Amino acid sequence: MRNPYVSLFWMQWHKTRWSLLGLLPGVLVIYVLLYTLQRFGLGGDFIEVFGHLVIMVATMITMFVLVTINSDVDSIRIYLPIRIFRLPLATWKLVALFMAYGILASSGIALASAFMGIWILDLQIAVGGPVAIAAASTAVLLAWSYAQQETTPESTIVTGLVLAAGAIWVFQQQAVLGAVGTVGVIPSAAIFGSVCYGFGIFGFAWNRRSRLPQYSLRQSSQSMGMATDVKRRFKNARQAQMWYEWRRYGWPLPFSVVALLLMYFFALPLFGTAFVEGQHSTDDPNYERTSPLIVIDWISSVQFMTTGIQVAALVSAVAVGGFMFMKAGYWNNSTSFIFTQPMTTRKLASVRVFNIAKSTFAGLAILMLALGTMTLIVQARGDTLGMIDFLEQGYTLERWFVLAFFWGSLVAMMWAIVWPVNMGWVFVGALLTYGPAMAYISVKQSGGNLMLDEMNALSETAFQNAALPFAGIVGFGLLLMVFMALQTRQVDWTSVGYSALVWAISFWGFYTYTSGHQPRTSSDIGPNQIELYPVNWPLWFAMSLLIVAPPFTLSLLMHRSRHR
Amino acid sequence: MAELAPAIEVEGLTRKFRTTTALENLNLTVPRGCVFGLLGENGAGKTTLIKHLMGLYKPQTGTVRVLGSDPIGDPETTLGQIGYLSEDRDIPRWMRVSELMQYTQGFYPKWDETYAQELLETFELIPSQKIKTLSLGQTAKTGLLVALAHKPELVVLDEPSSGLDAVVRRHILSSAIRQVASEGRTVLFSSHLLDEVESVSDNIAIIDGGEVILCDRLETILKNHLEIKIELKESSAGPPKLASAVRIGGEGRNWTILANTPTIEQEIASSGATIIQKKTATLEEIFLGYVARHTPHS
Repeated sequence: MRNPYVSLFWMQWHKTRWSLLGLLPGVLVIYVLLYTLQRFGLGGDFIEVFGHLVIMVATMITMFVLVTINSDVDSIRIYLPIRIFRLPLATWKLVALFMAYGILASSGIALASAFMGIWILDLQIAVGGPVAIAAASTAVLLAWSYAQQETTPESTIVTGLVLAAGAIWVFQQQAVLGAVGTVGVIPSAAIFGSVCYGFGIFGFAWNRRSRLPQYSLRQSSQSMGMATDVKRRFKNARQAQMWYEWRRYGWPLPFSVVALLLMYFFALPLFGTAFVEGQHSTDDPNYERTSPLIVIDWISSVQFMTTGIQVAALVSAVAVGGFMFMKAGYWNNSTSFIFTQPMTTRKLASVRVFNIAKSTFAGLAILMLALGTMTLIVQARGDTLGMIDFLEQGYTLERWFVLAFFWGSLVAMMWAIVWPVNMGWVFVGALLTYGPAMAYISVKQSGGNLMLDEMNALSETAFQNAALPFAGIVGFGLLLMVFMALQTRQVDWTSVGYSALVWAISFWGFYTYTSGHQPRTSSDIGPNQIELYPVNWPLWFAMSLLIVAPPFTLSLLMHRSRHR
Repeated sequence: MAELAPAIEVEGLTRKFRTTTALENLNLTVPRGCVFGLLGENGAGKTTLIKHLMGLYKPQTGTVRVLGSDPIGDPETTLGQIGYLSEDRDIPRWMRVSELMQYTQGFYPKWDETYAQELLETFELIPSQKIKTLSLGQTAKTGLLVALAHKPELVVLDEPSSGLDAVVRRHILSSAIRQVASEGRTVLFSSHLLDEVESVSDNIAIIDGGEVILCDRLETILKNHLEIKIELKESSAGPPKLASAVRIGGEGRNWTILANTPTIEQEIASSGATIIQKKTATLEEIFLGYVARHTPHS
């Protein structure tokens, strides 16, 4: 084989042929199962459950990866074997070849899979289903085939999931455009293909340069169209430390917000489309293949949209909080590097607090941008989202306040949750106070001597009563931290004063919002009109403390960690 | 002109980790402008002492002053004058060499970019390389580069040659330590490699069991310590009683004595023993003599 392209193709085929061929029986098993279930009229449920299972597993893996990966963009890449980079081939040619192989492999699987599922078994699933399955599984399989060589599965899983989501997105575009005509598919595929190719070149060039020290920087700069040895000079220690903190702990929050948004608004409904569309077409005789797809329906639904925004903020903060807990040395001070820098602990802590604030607001900006864009999309389609009306339902409050509270609560949520030690303390408090109440109810209920109404009443009382000691524990914890931080001179009274002011504003916000709730039991009951749990002031008090806790807890923790 | 404070002043420093005593009433003064070797077995307390100098441990009792400042009370001033290489080469592995240089430069106004580039070339490091891809030797060189490039008043190197080959060790010792000393700055380095300490140090301190058991100029130590072989008149089950001996080893009639006082010869004469051989002790013999004396089973 004198031709390097043929050699590479041959190598790829030999490496992946059994796995690729092995996918077909797997797909066949799923189809046979679907076929059997549909014959007995159970297919719809199964498809839905299966679809959700896939989504759940994908989400869990992504969250795990987000929490455990090294905080470094460079880790998110496939580790191709170094021998590939030693080949006398330009990066753009290497990428083209790998893409061509991937497209060919997934096309083969898609065709075989569609042939089995739709034409032979006559399954009630969308045409795009087999394409989506083929694209996603081939992408993950090819990524895995290289991950095993360098034992970096986490980076490969991320890549695989991104590729899979991308492949499904293409399929979705095809389905949407299919309503207009097949002409639209080509430009859509061309754009997506070009983006993938661009990412491929970027990733390969990056990989190649870092793996081969002798690889010419000039060459890589040319191939990537960017400079690689930009000189960054920090004017002072604070600026340098800000850079460090952002690279280490700053970018993961906005990054995971983007990932979660993509997951929620694209991957989730797309999986749903692939699996649930078939169920609709089975149940509803008037259902047409060209009717609006679930992804569009979701964007049109303000309830799903706001939930998606909240989920992205919440889960991102949990993931980044977990990451910081493991990497920032709160519980295991594995590194003393930053503590050997000539900077006071107070300044180090303030840089981290400021950086996380920046990161949180970056997350908020992304959320606002996402919601704004989707609102515009909905409006462009001639619909009205009714976002503000939705938020105002059940409240007698000024419009600006409702909006400010919505966005403010997202920032507050991300900001409070991202600090793992504070959340740990809240968890301990909740365990000590709400735990016994829950255990009591559980024991009573297990005896079978509680009616539903009685249990609800008991729960309400128990939770109401537990709120005060819970607030006491959280409040005491923070006051102790404030006292100790003052004693060790990690904060001064000015900081305490500012914190008190921020806390007062937060508490006023919570108070106003809760007071403005006017539940109605009318027939047009909306999502915010149902009776909430009784207004729980101690709970609000405790939660609003979390907003001002980080500067105190962090500086104290860092001080103790630094001077053991 | 006011006299400058010593580079390091440690008084009555004690450190306990639960039931283990790492440092016991330790006193040490390191004068400015010298290369100071801290010698001790593994677990002797060298790293614990260095962590106190860096402010990473808070003295349980006693005081620590570095270049006249308190590393805990005033870390900005103190650490701003120290170049530090930790035993475990604790530098962020996710950075590139160039990024670590740029990051470190932000903290030190005296950062000398020309010198940094010189060291980069001498150590044959590639700026674009990720630290996690570097070998052990390259990682040590990178750590050393950022420790030296801001021309600190005090360079603290914890086991700088640990795990390194002879070529890299030579680089570190000749290029780095001696150059710093030649510019009148101070180097404190810990090691358990005797030849390394002997080849570069002006002063040494031997630490054992958390205590400084010997501290002086190296040439004084080598000059004053004698190894004497003696022969007793009659065979003896135990060593002869010589109060000023550091260590006595042997059996029967033949014994070897390590001592650092000239009065030892009078003591030997008055005990009735005969001196067979007398020579200046090597650093290894001195070290082993002192450490063995402190080891309970010796």
